[in-house]
Amino acid sequence: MPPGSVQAGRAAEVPEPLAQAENLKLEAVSAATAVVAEYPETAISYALLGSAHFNVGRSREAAQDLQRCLELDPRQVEAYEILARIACEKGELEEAVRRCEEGLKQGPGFPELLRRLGRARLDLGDSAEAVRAFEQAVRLAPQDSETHYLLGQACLQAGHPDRARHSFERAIALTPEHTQAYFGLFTACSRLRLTEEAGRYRQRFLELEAADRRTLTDRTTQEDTLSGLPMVRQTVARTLFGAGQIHQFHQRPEKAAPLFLRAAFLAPDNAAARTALEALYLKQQQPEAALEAFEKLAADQPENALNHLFLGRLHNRLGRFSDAAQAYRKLQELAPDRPEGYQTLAELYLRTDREPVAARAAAQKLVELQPTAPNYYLLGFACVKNNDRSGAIAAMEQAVALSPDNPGFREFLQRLKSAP
Amino acid sequence: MNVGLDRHPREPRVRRVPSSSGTGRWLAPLLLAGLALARALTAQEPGPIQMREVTRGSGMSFIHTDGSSGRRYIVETVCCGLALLDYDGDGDSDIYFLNGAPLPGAAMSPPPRNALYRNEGNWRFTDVTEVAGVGDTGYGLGVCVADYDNDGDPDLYVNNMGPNVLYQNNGHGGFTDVTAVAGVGNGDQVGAGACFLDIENDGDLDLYVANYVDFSCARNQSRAVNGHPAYVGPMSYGPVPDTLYRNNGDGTFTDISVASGVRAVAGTGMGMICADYDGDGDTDVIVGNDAMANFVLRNDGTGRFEEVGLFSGLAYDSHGIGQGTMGIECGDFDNDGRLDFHMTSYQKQWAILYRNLGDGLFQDVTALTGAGTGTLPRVTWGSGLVDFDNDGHRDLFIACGHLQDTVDSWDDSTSYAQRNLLLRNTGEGRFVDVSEQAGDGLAVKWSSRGAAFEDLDGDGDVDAVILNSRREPTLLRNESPRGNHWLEVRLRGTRSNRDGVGARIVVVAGDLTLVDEIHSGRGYQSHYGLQAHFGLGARTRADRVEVQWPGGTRDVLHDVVVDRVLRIIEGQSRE
Repeated sequence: MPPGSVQAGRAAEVPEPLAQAENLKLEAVSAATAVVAEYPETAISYALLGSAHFNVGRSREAAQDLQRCLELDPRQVEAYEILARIACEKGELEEAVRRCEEGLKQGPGFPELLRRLGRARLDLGDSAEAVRAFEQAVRLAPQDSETHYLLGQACLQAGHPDRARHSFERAIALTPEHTQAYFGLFTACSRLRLTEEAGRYRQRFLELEAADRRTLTDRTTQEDTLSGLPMVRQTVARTLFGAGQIHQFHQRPEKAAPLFLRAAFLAPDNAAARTALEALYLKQQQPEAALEAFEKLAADQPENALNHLFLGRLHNRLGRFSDAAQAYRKLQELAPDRPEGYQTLAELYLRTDREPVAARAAAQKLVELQPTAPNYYLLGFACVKNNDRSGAIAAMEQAVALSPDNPGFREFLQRLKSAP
Repeated sequence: MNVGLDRHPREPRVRRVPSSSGTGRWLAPLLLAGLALARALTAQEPGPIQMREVTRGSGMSFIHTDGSSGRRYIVETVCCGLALLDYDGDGDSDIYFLNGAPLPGAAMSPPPRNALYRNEGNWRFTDVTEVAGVGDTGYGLGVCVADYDNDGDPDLYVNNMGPNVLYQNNGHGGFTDVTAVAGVGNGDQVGAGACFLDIENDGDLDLYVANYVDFSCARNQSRAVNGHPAYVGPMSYGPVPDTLYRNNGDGTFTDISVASGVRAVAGTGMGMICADYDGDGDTDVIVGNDAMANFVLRNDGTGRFEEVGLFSGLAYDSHGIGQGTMGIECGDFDNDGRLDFHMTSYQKQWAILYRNLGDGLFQDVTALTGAGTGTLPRVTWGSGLVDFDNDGHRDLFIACGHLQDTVDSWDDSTSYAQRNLLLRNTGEGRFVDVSEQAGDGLAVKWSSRGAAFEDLDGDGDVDAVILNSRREPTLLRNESPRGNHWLEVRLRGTRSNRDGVGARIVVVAGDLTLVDEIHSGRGYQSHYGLQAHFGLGARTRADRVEVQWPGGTRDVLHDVVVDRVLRIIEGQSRE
């Protein structure tokens, strides 16, 4: 090796988080491979394996899996979308267009495919076709701010800043802090020579962009993020959850349960895996087994509020109200700024006719955190339990104001007012 | 059923499509064989641009080092640029390569150094580093060249991690380190691009020094992507302001970063270029920032600057996203008389082409022109808007190579070593990827960084030199079919700075009007092009060659013979 060409001492031993991440990825691919082995004629098995390969950066294998999935069932429109994404990210835009068009033949009402098609057209500089794709997508998903934003971009590229402006405004109406839509508005208004509006949108864009950058900087300097492990855990959890769902679909709860449990363990904020785990045991009339699983999770993750929510629900279902209340109080303690702990505890006390003072306190806190009509209704009910009629009326007036069309709220308020 | 097909949106991965998509088990091998045959046939058909790899046998022994030891210091990945300059005044371009230095944990004996190679002609080069005295052993990142003391020979400025170096050319094949006297060491910063420019058109060249991030080896961080060790991005350390030195005209410089307004903004500077982007007659500064908005520092004509990147349209891509900008190049790709800008960037981002709309406004036309073709799965660095086939339309050469040396382990759609890209300008507002038909020079697959473009063999077409990370460089001889005409313009300022840095040249040949500017420092932390090269197609004479000097004076020549080097001295061809 010539002098100065380096590399002495490169690649020493693999640090612990990296080894963990590697093992987790193997676990995900292995679970998906097992699903394919178990159900080889099921398209969705290959979709899962493709997804697992995709998520660990093995796109060649992912593409093969997804292709097999489509051979088994061409109606798996998501597979086309991923194949198009693979092509798009590689810069093979014509291939992406082809994949999207294939997929749209199978599922013309799939907005994600139209969005992907529009993006590929946009990147190809084919503005008119991009506009057409995004317009279709907007019709299918009118509440999706991203589609409105992309339609705005296509209109800008097509030389229609006035139409672009309208689409960017729609995006902001749906997502008020849509940084890029503000940039789009700044650009569109500049081209329309609307100086004052352009200046206003520019200012807002700069504020939002600075905030985004701060968030990104904070995130990139966090030790957890630097290790990359949390993201790997999240991704692997999704694959395991998917594998569990397929086993469950094939009536194999004994295989699904450990996968749901593992997914819940890997992704502390994954409510879907926990819900699936709970539902699976309850469907088999095994609430005790469910309780055991969540106790295990809570023991592993004592600071995770979500586990206590499920523990409370299960204790409640088993009639262990004190244990349920204790779990909900723990939930409050761990997540004092979230409404769930107060809501569940208030409901528990009111339903079991216990601790009216504590129930009212919890309901009061609940409406402070989440002032919705149903929560004011809960507070009103708690006030009644505490013989506080005026408090109940005040709460129900709020509930009716927030949800004037709800006959139940109006009737309850009327009864409160007309009571002697 | 949803089986978790979605991915985390921030996970940076790129994917490949199957080569045998949609085919049965037995058909696939046949189809693949057919495709391979078709590819081979296409590859054999030469395109209009041919670049031959001639590194071997050139006498070039330089090997780049990034000084790494596995600890992943951020500077390793961004190292470094190179310069083309005629240091000995013999009329041809010599090559100066920057180099890394051993970082903590790495031991190298002898220590790596920068290297100067004298062009002996016929694609032979001699290492003259020792004799010339330019073998700096600092951690090199950026370089620029210009005759800052107006004594008739090119001087060298090296932007290091740590103290920078100004080499004054003594005119006899040697240089003297005059950093301390000149006062341009720039402290202990992490360098990036650098440019000489005349900020107030007073006839001597000032110096803009871009700084990268607030980093020191003691504060090093590394991270993991998908379970593999990786380099962190610039935001893990944060932006820093750049430095502007005013030339006092007596061999010394004064730091005027604050007074000039340069220090009002902090960025993550990478490549940069100084050009009159708004056509108002003074030289502005355009700095590519990594993972944030680029800076456009508009000169008010007196050497005071205001950052107007967002207004200009050069700060972000068309979506308002600050790219991981690496290098910046400018040139008039559509021959409308205005300088357009090309900025390279990170994987999954387009290398962006901005069209100059006039009035200091730009539009991202990457998609509309196809100028981004091939860049999405690559990390792109040095680039050149260069007319390789002399057809009168500037093509695009883009140096590529991933900065993550482990990327092959976690993303099979890209690779650390990548082929460079050559996009041919069709002359109709589109670029077409001709890399596969452009000769063996475009088949080289290393991890490239800086790139520079000049006519190294004096045969009338522009050649290329590319610095590759951890490897030998690549010399590319332009062997495109002859037939088109050309003109190379070299300037000598008398009232303006001697090299004519900042001068604008307009060549009119029949229906063709071409413009260029003289820049000191450009692309990815590199330098080239103190002379301007114009491809003229079939046009056998230039009707008019006009030079607008930085001081405002103008020289005009009529009915100029082409296929030669045209030397223009300021004030000798007044209209």
